[in-house]
Amino acid sequence: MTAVLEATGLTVVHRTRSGPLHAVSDVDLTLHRHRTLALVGESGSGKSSIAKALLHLPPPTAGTVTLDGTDLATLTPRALRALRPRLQMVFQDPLSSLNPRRRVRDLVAEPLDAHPRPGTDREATVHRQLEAVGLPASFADRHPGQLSGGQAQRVALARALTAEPRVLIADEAVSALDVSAQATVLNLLRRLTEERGLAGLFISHDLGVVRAVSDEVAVLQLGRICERGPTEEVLAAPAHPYTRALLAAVPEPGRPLGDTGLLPTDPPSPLDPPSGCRFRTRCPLSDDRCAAETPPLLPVTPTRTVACHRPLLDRQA
Amino acid sequence: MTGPVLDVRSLDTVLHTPDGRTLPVLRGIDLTVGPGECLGVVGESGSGKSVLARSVLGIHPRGTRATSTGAVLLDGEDLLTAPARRRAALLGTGIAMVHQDPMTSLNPVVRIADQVTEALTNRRRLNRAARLRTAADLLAAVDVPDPARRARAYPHELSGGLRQRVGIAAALAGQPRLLLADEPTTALDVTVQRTVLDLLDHHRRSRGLATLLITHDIGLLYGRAARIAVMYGGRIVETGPTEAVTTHPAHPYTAALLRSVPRVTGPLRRTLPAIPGSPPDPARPTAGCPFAPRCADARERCNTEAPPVHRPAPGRSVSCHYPLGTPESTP
Amino acid sequence: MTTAEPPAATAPTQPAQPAAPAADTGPRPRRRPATGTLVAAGWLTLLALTVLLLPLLLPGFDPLHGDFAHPSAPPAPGHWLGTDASGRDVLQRTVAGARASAAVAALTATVGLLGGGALGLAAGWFRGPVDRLIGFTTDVLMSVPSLVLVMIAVSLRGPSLPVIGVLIGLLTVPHFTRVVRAVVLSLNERGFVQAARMLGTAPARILRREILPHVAPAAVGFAFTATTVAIVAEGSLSFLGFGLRPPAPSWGGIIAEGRTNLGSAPWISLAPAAVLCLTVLAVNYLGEQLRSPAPKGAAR
Repeated sequence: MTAVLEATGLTVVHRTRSGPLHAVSDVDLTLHRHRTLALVGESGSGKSSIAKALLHLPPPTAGTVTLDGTDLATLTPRALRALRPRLQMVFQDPLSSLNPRRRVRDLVAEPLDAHPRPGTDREATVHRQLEAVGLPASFADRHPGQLSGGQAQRVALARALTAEPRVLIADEAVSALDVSAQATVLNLLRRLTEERGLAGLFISHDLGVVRAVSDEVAVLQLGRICERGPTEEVLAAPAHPYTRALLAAVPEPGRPLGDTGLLPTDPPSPLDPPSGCRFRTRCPLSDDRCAAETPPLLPVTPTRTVACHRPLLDRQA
Repeated sequence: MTGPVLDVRSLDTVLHTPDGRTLPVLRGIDLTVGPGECLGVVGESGSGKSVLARSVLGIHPRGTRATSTGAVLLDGEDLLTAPARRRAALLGTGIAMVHQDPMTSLNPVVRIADQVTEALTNRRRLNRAARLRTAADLLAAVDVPDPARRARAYPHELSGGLRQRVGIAAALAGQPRLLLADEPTTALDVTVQRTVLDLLDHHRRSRGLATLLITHDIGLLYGRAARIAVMYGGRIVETGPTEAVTTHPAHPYTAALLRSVPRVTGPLRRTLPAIPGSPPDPARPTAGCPFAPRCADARERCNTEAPPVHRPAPGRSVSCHYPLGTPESTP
Repeated sequence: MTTAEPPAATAPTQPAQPAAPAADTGPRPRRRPATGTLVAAGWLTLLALTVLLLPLLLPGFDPLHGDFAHPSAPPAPGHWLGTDASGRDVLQRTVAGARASAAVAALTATVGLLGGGALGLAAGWFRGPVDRLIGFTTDVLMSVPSLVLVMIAVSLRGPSLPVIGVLIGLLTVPHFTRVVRAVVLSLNERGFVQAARMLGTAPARILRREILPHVAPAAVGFAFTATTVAIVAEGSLSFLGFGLRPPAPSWGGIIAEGRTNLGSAPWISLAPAAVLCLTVLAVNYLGEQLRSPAPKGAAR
C-alpha cells in the first residue's frame, strides 16, 4: 500500500460569535492508492471541516497535510494552486457545484483550461471523461439545469477526473440522490478508485453507503475519531458504543429495529462539548472515569483502534 | 368495524403550467388509512409522493395551480367537494402535517409556545400564562427536555431534532385524526431520526392517529408502517403489507428499488444493482407501463398497454402485466 | 432524495430533478416578453429615433431660435408642444435636452459601474481588511450630502457636462459597490466557486469565468437605476441653477425655465417633465426586468 495523502494532528478551530468551536481535534489519517477510507459521523462531527483542511481551503488551525511527501503548508500560493488538481472533491449538492451558466463541455474541460497541458485534445478529453462516468457525449452541450441530480454528480466527477487527481474526496456525495442514482454514483466511485489507483476519502453519515464503497472506516464524534478499522470488521462488531448506536439506528428493509442503547438526551453542542469522553452524555456505559479522562485512541485488535475506556471488544494484551 | 379515517378513491391530479400545458402528476390513486394505522408511501423524487400529500390537504405551493378529481374522504367527508371554509377548519383538527424541514415550516420570529398552540388559540382564547402552560404540556408530550423554557424560545435556538419535535407537537395540538408526515426525518441525523420516528409511532398508537408516512427511504418504513404503497410515475404500482412487499416484491420496480438499497447487513456487495435510465416525464405520458423503459423484464405489451391490477394475495395489489412470483412472470 | 417534487411544478424553463431526458433536445419554448417590456422599450426607441432624426427631418431645427412673435404659445400645429417665454419651440428644446440628459446619464452609469464594480469585486473577493476599508470609504462617501458636494464642485469647476456626469457618477459608486459586493459574497459560498478554487484555478480566471457572469446582470440592472438617478439629479441641479447653463437646453433646465410661467403656460415645464418621467419609468422598468432571474433558469 502506498500512502498518498497523510494528515497528522489535524485541528480546526472556527471562530464564532459564541466563542471558539473546536470542529476537529487532533485527527490523524492516511489515504492509500486503490483504497477508500470512509469518515462517518453525524452533523457537528467535523467531517466536512476535515475535508476542507485536507484541501487547505482554508488550511487547518494546526497539523500538517502532506501529499506525496510534500507538506502543503510549505508551498507558495502559486505552487499550491498548481498542485490542487491532484486533490479533487465532489460535493453534496451536485447542481450547486456546477456553474449554471456554463455548458457541461466547459465544466468538464475546466481543469484543462485552468492549467493548460500542451498537446491535449480538449474535446476528446471531455468525451473520454463523460464516457468514464457513463454519460453519452451528447451531454456536453447541456446546461446543468438540464441534468438530474445523479447526472449532475457524474458531471462533477468527470470534471474531477479531467484534473487527473491522486486523491478523490466525496463529501456526502450521494446523500442528496435517489436510491437508484445513488447506486450508480457509488459503483462509479468504487470502480474509479480501484481501477485508476486513486486514494479515496468518502465522507458520509450513512453506514449502508459507507459499506458499499470503503475499505476502512473512521467514526467521528464531535471532532475526534472514536473508532477506526476495516469497514467489514467494524460493522460486524463495533467496538465503540457510539458506532454501535449509529449502526443500530440505520433503518433497513428486513432488519428488525435494534436498540441504539443511547440515553434519551439530545446530542451535545460542539460549542460546549462534555469533559473527558465527548460521547459520555449519551453513552449507556459511561462512568466517572469517562468524565475525568479523555480516552486515547488505542488498538483493540491488530487492525482496529478505539477511543473508549470501556470498549465493547476486549483489548488484546 | 370502523371505517377508514382517510379514503382516497381514483384520485387524479394535474398541474397547470404557466405556459398553459397540463401535467398529469397523480393517476388513479386508491388508498385507505385506518385509525391508528400507518401507511408508508415510498417513491423517488418525481414519483408524485409529495403531490399526494398536498392533494389530500388541498394546498399546493404558491404559483402552482393544480386540479384534483376523484374523492378524498376524511371520515367519509369528501374534501375535494367541501367548501373552502370547511376545508380550512379541518386543517389542524382533522388533518395535520409534519414537514421535512421544521426550520422552514416554523416561523423564525414567533416563540415556540405561540406556534405550538396555533391550532388551539384559533378556537379557544387563552391568556399568555395559560398558553405557555399548554405549550409546555404539548412539548413535554413529545419528549422535549425542559419544556417550560423551550416554550419561550425561538426556533433557531433549538437543534434540528428538537425543532422537528416542536413541529410534531404543533401538529398534534389540534387533536387531528390524520397525520401527514412528508419526509419528516430526512434532514435529521440517523440517531435523531430513530427517536423522532419512535415518537410518531408512540402517538399513533396511543391516540389512534391515522398516519401517512411519506419517504424516499424504503428501509425507514420497515417495522413502522403496517402497509406500504410504492409510487412510480404518479401511480401506486404496488401496495401490500410491508413485510410481504419488502421480502417478496411483486412489481419489478419495487424489486429493483430494494436491490439498489445499500445495506449494513447481509453479504457484502461490491457493486450495487442500479436502475438504469431516468424516471418518466409527466409531460410525456405513455400508453403502456410507466416503468417499462427501465424494466429488465419488460416485453412488447408493456410499452403499448396499460398494466392491469393484479391481486396476488389478500391485501396486496400490483399494477404490472407480468408480476414477479406469478405464473405470468415466467416467459 | 430530499428535494421538492414534482419536477415540472416549479418552472417550465427548468426541467429540474428527473430531467426529462428528451425535453431539452427540442427547441425550448421562448419566454414571450411582457407587455410592459415592449411598451418601455418602445418608448425609449421612439425617443432615441426622435432625438436622432428630428434635427435632420425638420427644416430649420434650432432649439435656440426664438419666435418672438409667439412667446408662451400653447401647443398648436407648428409648435406641437407650444413655445416658451422666449418663443422657442418646446418640442425642439425637449429633443435637444434629451442629448444632454443622455450624455450625463451615460457618463454616470459608466463611472458608477466601473468604480463601484471594481470596489465591490475587491471587497467581496478579498474580504477581511480590504472589505472593511472599502466599506468605511463608501460609508463616508454616502454620509456626505450629495447635492451640496455637487454644488460646490460646480461652483469651482463650472457646470460642464463631464463635470456633472462624473460627479453624479462618483455619488453612485457606493451603491454599485454594495450591490456588487453582496453578489460576490453570496457567490463565494456557492459550490461552483469553491469547486473552481479546489481546481487551483487562478483568481483572475475565477473572477472572469465564475463571478463576473453572475455579477453582471445585477450590476447592469442597477446601472439602469443609476441612469435614472442621473437624469433626475441633473434635472434637480438645473432647477437649482447648478446644471448646464442656459440657453444650452437640458430637461432640468427647460423645466426650471418654465416654472415662472407655470400658471399661464404650464406646457413649458410639463412637456419636458412628462418626457423625463416616462423615460425614467421606462428605464427603471427595463432594469428591473434585467435583474429578475435569467430565463436559463438554473441560476438558483
